Amino acid sequence: MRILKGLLAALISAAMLLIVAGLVALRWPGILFTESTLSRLARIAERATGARLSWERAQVTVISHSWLDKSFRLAFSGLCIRRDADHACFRDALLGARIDFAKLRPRVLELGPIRLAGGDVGLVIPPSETRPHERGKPPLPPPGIRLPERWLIQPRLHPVHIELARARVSDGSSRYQGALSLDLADDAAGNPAGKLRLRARLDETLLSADGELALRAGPGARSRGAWLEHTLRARLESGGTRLIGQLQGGFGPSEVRQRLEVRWDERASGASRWIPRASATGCELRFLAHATRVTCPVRTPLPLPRSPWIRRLQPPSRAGATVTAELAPTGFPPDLSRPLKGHVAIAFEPLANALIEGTGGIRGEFHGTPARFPEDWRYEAELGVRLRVTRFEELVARLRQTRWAIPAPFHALEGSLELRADGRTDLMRGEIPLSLCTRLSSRTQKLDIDAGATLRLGALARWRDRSGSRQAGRVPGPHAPRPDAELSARAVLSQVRLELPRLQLEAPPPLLADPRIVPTRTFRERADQWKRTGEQSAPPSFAYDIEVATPSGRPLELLSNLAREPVPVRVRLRLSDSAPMEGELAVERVGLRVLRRKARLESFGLRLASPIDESPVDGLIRVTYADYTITIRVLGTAGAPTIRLLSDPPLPEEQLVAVLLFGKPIEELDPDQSESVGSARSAFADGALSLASLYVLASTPIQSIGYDPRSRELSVKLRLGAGTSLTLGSSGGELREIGIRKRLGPHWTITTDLSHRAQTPGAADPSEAPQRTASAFLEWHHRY
Amino acid sequence: MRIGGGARLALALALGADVAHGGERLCPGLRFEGELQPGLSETEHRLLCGDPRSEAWGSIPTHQARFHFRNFLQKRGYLHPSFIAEGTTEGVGTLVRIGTPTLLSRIRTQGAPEELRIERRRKLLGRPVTPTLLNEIEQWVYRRLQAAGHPCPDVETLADRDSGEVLVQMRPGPQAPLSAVIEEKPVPGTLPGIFRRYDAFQLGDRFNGDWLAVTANRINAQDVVLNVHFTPECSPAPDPEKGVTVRQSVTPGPPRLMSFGFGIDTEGLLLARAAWRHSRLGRGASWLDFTALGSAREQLLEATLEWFHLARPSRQSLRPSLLLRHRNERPFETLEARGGIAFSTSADGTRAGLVALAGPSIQGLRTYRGVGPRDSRFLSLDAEATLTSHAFEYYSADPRTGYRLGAAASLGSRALLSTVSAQRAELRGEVLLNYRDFDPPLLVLGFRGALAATFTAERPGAATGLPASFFHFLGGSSNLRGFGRQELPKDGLGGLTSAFLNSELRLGSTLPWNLDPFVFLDLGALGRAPLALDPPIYHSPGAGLRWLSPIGVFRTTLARGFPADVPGHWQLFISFAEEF
Repeated sequence: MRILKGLLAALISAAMLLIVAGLVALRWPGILFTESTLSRLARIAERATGARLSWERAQVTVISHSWLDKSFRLAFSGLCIRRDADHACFRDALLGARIDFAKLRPRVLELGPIRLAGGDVGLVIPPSETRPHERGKPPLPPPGIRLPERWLIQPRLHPVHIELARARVSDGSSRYQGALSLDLADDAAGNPAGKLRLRARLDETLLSADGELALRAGPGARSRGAWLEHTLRARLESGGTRLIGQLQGGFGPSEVRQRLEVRWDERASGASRWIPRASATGCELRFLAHATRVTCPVRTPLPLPRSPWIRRLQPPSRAGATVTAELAPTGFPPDLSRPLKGHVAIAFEPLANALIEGTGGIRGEFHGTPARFPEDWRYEAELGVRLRVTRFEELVARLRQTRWAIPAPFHALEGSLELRADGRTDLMRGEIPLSLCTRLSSRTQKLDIDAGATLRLGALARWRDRSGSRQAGRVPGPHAPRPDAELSARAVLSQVRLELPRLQLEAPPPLLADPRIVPTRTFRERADQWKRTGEQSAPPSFAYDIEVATPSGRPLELLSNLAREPVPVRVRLRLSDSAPMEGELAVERVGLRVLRRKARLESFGLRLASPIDESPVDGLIRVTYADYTITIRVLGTAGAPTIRLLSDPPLPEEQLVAVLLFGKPIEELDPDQSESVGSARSAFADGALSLASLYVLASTPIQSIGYDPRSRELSVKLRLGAGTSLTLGSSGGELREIGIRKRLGPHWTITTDLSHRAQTPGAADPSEAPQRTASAFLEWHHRY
Repeated sequence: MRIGGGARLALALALGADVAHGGERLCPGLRFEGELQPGLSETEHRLLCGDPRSEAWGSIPTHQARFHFRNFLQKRGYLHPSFIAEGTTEGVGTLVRIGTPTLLSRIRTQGAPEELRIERRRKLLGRPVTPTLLNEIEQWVYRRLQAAGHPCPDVETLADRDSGEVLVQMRPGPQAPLSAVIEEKPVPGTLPGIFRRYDAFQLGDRFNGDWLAVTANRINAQDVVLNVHFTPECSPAPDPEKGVTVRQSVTPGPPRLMSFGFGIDTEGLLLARAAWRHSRLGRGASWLDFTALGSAREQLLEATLEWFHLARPSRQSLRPSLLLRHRNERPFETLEARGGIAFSTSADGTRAGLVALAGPSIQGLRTYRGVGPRDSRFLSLDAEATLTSHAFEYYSADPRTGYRLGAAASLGSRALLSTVSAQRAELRGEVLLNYRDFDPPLLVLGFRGALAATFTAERPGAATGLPASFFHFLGGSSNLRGFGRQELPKDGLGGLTSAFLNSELRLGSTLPWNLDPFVFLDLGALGRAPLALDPPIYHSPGAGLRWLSPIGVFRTTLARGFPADVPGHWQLFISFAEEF
């Protein structure tokens, strides 16, 4: 019993002691919370979390406002938290808070003062991976933000000052470093407000940014719930690019509303040299429950070009567009590892001056994962951009004295031309559908072209490839070289009539320079390039594959002084940077003047080959006389066409040539003309004349023709007027004639007879062989 | 103080002055300074100044005119024109300083196989750099590569317009044997493959473009067809092991050929000739030829059939012929009738071709003037063989290299239908050497000679039983150029043996107007007995000029005949189409 009494007395005493100790601790908590208490707590925390907390000096102050209302103030000197490679150290740290323990859940009544000064933080973040359990997790409902009401909104805020003099964050591939300072306090109205200043740099040189974020709890935030307003001013610089932006907005329980202003300044020359500056003022971003909406007008001043010829076109000094976008719910802040989709529309401001009108916009849907941009992104857009030159003649006039003057015969045209980017495409693949429509005409000419094209921007594709490889952790592989831009086009010559220059009796002059004759620098570069045969050559900056065709039943028409009426030509051509031009040209039935006679070209076809002189030709011309019709067949190649003559009723071939050349039978020709008949036939048969020369000669008053089969040189004497003549030469052959028989053609030869009898029996006749009498014959031949 | 172009122009415009003084004015606003050779054509002029008769070409924008002018100048080798804006009374004009032509200073090659030596191509350096010159270089290189066994070479040129240097880039491709000739379509009525009898190559030999040309020219020269040419198949690229295939394209034309002609021979005599030929008789493409030839010295009627008698394409043929000829030479006048048949065949190797024929013939001869009996007849066995290098054949139009060797014999006996026994034999040859293989040649050294003899018991003289045509004479442009045609021997009786050796050295493509000078020395001797040469040894040094005219080669020689015991004299020859 005594023992029981003793135990009971001890228990009561202990309880009393505990109560007294508790009361003492509640009344004077400073007795309990000392530096050694903190040290013990730090060791417990280290065992639980692995983070080691240390300090040089610590001072704990507890102020008791009542039994259950306490203020804590912890002051540290040399405070450091370390865990693995991460650390956060502060020269001075002061943490204060007033907490009400009256209810079961302690309530923070006042926060602060907090002061962290001389901070040095270093964090190493392992490569981010989407954790499996997060994959199926739906995004937070909008606005998706939950401000810490118990800790930030409801407590009274004393000044908070956090200063990180040095902060370094590394994620394995990039290293960020910078400085940060944060000040928080209640404003005059009693709402929490703060300011965050940040200065950061990525990888020393790549990107530098400094910014200021001002946060303020909205009016009545404490009574109506969290509403946080912010203003973020940021300035990013990378290389020659500078981006200055201001984001204003607020976060509420049901909406996040943002207003963005951005100015972009590209000082370095590069891909964006044509748009060196841009600004977006008054952008609105609204994160709603069902969508995120963006409306953003963008303006850019267009640099005034130095080239005087462009100045003559009076280009606009600025361009503008309004971007509107609606994104599917993303939550806030958006989870960049989740696919994103939405609509984006860009409406360009109309562009108009005396020369050019431009209107249009782009509207489309996009989807992709922001973290994997631009690899899996698609932007299926409907393009509707139109650029129109309303008065082509005005364009001609303005460019007349410049190096980009519209050349003859096009400079005589008047009308309009329009370039459109029309149709649906995936812009992220760099494909832009284009169309060109010209409606130009003059008194004698017409140029109506309807062309459709696709422009592929290889640079964009390369960027996607490179980005995709980097994000996947791959070394960008050797992709097939792509040109910066590729154009695939099909142009229909809907109605074209062009005037050719008046040709004289000669081979047409060269209209293009011979690309083989180059300045020294190009010569050396090309020579070096030839040396490196076998290496993969750099792709051309611009590749093209263009089909040009005339529509069925509407050939293009060429006006020439050598034809009685427009020459209808059907065209089907393919021009490519990687292959010689191919296709067909076909001249349809047309009246001509052939050798001063009215004639009709029934057909003429030229199938393009490489080199162009090797292109096969096939032509049929009929010349009708009173008693007979002569058919001229042109065969062979464009470089060496051969002529075959037929007639109905049949005439000997020399008669045909005589009639064609001189308009009378061979019996009535003078000796000079008779000789010309043979020479012409030889030249025709030998293909000694190019197609162009043939065409020119066909319209000439020929006086005589001489032909040297050895050099394949043709001389033509033309009758220009009474008593006046002109002799022309055409050399298309080479000295490869073998043997001592000079073949002038199927009917005429010059034969040097040295061995005529050398291979006949009795050749050993001493009076013959050693003497080797040489003789030369001009012979007329006839095959039948 | 230096005034910029813009300032000059502004000054000129402000003063309203026409600074266009000097130079040649093409049209208002365009003039040029410099010597433009050749001048502008009318079409070129219109493309620079506009065509008042055309709406579309009535005016040419200044920069387009400059663009055209630059191209027209490039065609002429003026590669550094400068275009200067100037003020004129009509407004702003352009002065074009055309400068001087850029001349070819150096040719460099890249990728050239060892066998191609560009330095052997003469007459290129110093010429204006024009597109035509580049074409010429490309064609020459292309042909030489094909001749060196590369069937499908790829040749490009690049010219430095500043220094005049030209770079020739070659991708010769592999050397390959010629594996097959594909006939595009057979000639109607003939056996496939009949043209292989003219091949200057053997299938399996290394491809040679020159020998293909020789083949084509043999066929064309025989008038078998209108035209034939060969093209190597380059797609896909030829395999060096399997070889390259060549496509043969033929334009057959009608088989019968009739011709009439007039001409001139080296003695300056007028000739007339008429011929009829059927060039594709039967499936073997045999030919039958009738020829009539007339001149003051000779009249001839001849019929020859080249009968390819085998039922397959073959080089072997039987060649019956009939001949009726009247000759009126300085030493004699004869009328001859001859008939014969010969077996003919040919063969071609890598470098040379051989033609051989042999067969009996019977000949009746009436002598109207000269030594020998009035009437004589001979039944003889004739044989002849000629070995010609392909190079000799290829360059026969402009001889420079190669050789031709020949041997001929005619055997007749009194015991076998001949009036007298006489055997005739001849060896002849011609060799040309091109110094360092230049093209065009710089120096061509040529040798030509023959040794001929008639073996018989008869001797030259008034009482001889042999007709004069069995005796040998010398003199003329083809053997001893210091003597007149058949001037030797002086007694006009002829000899039973003759020999001569010509040597000639020609300087090629050095003088203007295609004139090539040459010097020569001809040696010759005659013998009154078979295979015995009697003194003196005739020799005739001399010099000459060769002119490659558009219609053929003219040669003129001036030489003096020696020795002193023969009355020497200066001998001038002018010949046409006769080469050394």
